[in-house]
Amino acid sequence: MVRKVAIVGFGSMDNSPEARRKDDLRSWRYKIAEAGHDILASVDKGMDPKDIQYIVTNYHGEATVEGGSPAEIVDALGMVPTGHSLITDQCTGSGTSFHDAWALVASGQYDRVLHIGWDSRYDLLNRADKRCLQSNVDYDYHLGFDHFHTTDMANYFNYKYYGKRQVLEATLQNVILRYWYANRNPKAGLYGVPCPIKKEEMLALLDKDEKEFLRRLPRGLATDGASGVVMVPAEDARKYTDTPVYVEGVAQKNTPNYPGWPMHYPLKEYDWMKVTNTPPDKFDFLCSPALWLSTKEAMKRAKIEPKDIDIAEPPFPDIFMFIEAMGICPRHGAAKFIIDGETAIDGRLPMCTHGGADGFGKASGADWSNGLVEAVIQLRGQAGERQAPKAEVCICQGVGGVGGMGAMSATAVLRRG
Amino acid sequence: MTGIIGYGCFVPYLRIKVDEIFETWRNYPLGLVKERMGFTERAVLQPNEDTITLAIAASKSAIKNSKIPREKIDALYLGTCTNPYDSKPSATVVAEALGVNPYLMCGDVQFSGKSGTAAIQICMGLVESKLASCGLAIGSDALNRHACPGRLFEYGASAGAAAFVIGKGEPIAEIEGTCSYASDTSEYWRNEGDRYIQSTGLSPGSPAGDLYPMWEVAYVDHVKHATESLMKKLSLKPEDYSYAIFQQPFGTATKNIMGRLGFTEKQVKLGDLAGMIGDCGAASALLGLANVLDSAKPDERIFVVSYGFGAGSDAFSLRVTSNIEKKRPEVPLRKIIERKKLVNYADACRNEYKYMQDLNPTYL
Amino acid sequence: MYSLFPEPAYQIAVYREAPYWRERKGRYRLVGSKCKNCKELWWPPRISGICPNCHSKEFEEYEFSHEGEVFAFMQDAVPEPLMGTLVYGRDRRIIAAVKLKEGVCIMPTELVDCELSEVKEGMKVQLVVRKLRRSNNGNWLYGYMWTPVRE
Repeated sequence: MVRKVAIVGFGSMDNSPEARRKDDLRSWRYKIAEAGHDILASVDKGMDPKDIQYIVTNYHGEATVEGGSPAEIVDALGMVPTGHSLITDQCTGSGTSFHDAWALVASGQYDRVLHIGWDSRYDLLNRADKRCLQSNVDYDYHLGFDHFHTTDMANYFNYKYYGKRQVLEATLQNVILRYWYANRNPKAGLYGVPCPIKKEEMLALLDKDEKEFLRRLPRGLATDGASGVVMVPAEDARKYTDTPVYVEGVAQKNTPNYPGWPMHYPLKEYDWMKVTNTPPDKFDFLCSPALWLSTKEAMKRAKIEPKDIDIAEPPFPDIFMFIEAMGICPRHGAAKFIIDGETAIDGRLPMCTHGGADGFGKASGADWSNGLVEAVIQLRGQAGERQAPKAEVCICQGVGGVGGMGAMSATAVLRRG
Repeated sequence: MTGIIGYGCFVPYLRIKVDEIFETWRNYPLGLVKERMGFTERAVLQPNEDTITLAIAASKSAIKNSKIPREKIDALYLGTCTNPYDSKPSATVVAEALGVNPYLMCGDVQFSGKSGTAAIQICMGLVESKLASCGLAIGSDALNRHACPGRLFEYGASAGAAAFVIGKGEPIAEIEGTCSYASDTSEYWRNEGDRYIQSTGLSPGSPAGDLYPMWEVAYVDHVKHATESLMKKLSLKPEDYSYAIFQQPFGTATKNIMGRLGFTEKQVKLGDLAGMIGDCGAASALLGLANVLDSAKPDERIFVVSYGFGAGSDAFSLRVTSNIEKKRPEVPLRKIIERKKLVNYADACRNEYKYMQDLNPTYL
Repeated sequence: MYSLFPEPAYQIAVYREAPYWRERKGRYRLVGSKCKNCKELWWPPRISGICPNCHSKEFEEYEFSHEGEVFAFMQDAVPEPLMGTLVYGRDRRIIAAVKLKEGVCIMPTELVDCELSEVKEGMKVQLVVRKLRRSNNGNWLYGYMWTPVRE
């Protein structure tokens, strides 16, 4: 028997430029503790750290390679001797840890579970060591490639299938929205940073000098991160807050981490083109079957249709498949959807309202949970200037992997309580 | 009779003009380098190339052109004096990359510029004595990586590889005979663990001594002895040959040696490549041989003599057979040489790692 | 990889030679796996030893074809040297995905010895073995790259 689960507290570390000035002074332990206690402090009617019965967190491998981090994290949080599961699932890791945290409460075994997604970039280990230590590097990292190469390759196909002009206009719109949202989010990494480009100017440049257009597009921000929620069974929710958020459906899917895998991975039960709703001449290795499968399963478990979704919180609005996998727009119609302004605050589907990972600060282990925390804020109506007018159902999506384009994906559907 | 069943070559894609090198250093008269030594361009390695990758490219092409299954190769000898390893065989990396059967006699052969022909001699011996049915002899060198910046050697030190499959079944050219001559004469050397090849210096007194160190007693002496000994053994004269190919440590080496041995301009023309591609070390004479074989006709005789500093010389007498018409390579060497891109000196230095950096490049 | 000062500097994370050695056939000759039971081909090779399709544990080596076509390509535009590989001249690398006749897509990989302007989708390419970088113990690591098949 699966219990319904509610989120009663949320929080994250402060990513604003002011707070990040002290970054080198703080270790990963400080950051995760900051998030943990922010979460507990946000519970309206109070929750004591001693009340937490289990902790689920995720990271990207910082701190130790031999394990042992769970013990250190519990100590850092001041929550000895609570049980703790530590998950690593690259950029969708906090979705996976959310899934497990949810399952612990849903199963009936635990009544108060803390979930934190966090990542600290290269505090102890250096980047080269960390990359080389990946388990699945034989035919990509070892050959001198990075997942940015795969994600950049996405543009090659986007230009082909959506048209270069459309893609660039959508990218421009996303950047404008990124700064719009981030400047209304006091914890965002770009809070207080004015948008360096103007829409009209850039559109004019797009006609004349594409190279200059691309050169001027600001790149996203990468920071550390720690954010999460605390979950209780739905029947207990009102004990902690008058505005709980219910978890309707969660799903997680994993596929191989080799970037080229979707082109040839013959399983009897799956036709990857059908799974990703793609015609054969438009099928490429960036179609991310994992994203489609996890989104469909989460929506099925939540018993919702695309028309029910009000807000979406994936980490990147530039990955068009997030919108398409939900079924909100036709396949290969996401670029137009964005250009038409549907992802702005007054559009059909406000998206990445915390600024997106590029605006809030990309910290891969915390990407999904940053979106989750924003979803909770929106559904509780506490988003202030960036509050979406209709906030009943929100979907949180994410992808992760060496390919960066969705070897693994977790999706969750949340509903206002 | 033992012969060459097929061959393949490779010359790196990037080249640099000697004028570029001169613009940076201005250390030797350009006329010396271009007119007297005969250099125009030489090869530059890309960061992803070295002796082993050149050897693999040449061998793959050789096996393909020989039209034999790769399982038949049971000897593989890599001749190089610029081995990436001091104490580990590079031939095994080549063997694995080719996918030849692991039950093979294998080894690296080092005799400076004549490493490739020494490898051919070893394969000949194994085939003749029936210890092997087919041998792959490779001459591959990347002298440019081991040429000190700012030295005369840098202008011509190049890179290249040529691989020959030696066996008895339908050869395209029979090896009528071979003779060698060696003695301890160190006009160039590179000690254990050293990066750069050094020379004893030019001696402007003797003719061509201002182009190559100890020219007379090193190059001319050994080449002459090997040549004369072979011709005597086979009772042949220079006039009996349609082509003659010499080791080319500099562009005008062929011109300087041919008269001494009685060969003419017409015979040496096809085999004279250093003016275009520089000094390819162990592949020098072999690339010239490949160029000749690309256009040789049946029954023509070819004379090949290589030379390695340190010093020694191998001479071969070949006779082209009728099988050559069926086994012309798909891509002639001429096309590989034409396929090139010029780079500047900064790129060449960076590609060939001729700078100092600190030890731990983790991020910045 | 020696230092002028003999005090050891420990690299925190160094792969043993064994993982490089195990995967060498894949890097040199594109050797993947073929399931003996359901006959499906797998790239990269099934180092776990289990067929995802039929869960059999019986495999044989299968060398994929060394010729393919360019499926996608782009100039390396990654702004930072994220890897310790320190690939020099990285902005000139052409990153590509190559599709083989078996349907397998080799991605990511590199095109060498050609200019970006001559690369077209569907262009025929063939496998060459090039030097990648040093492995962690100092040995050289070699692997596949692709160059246009020129008639």
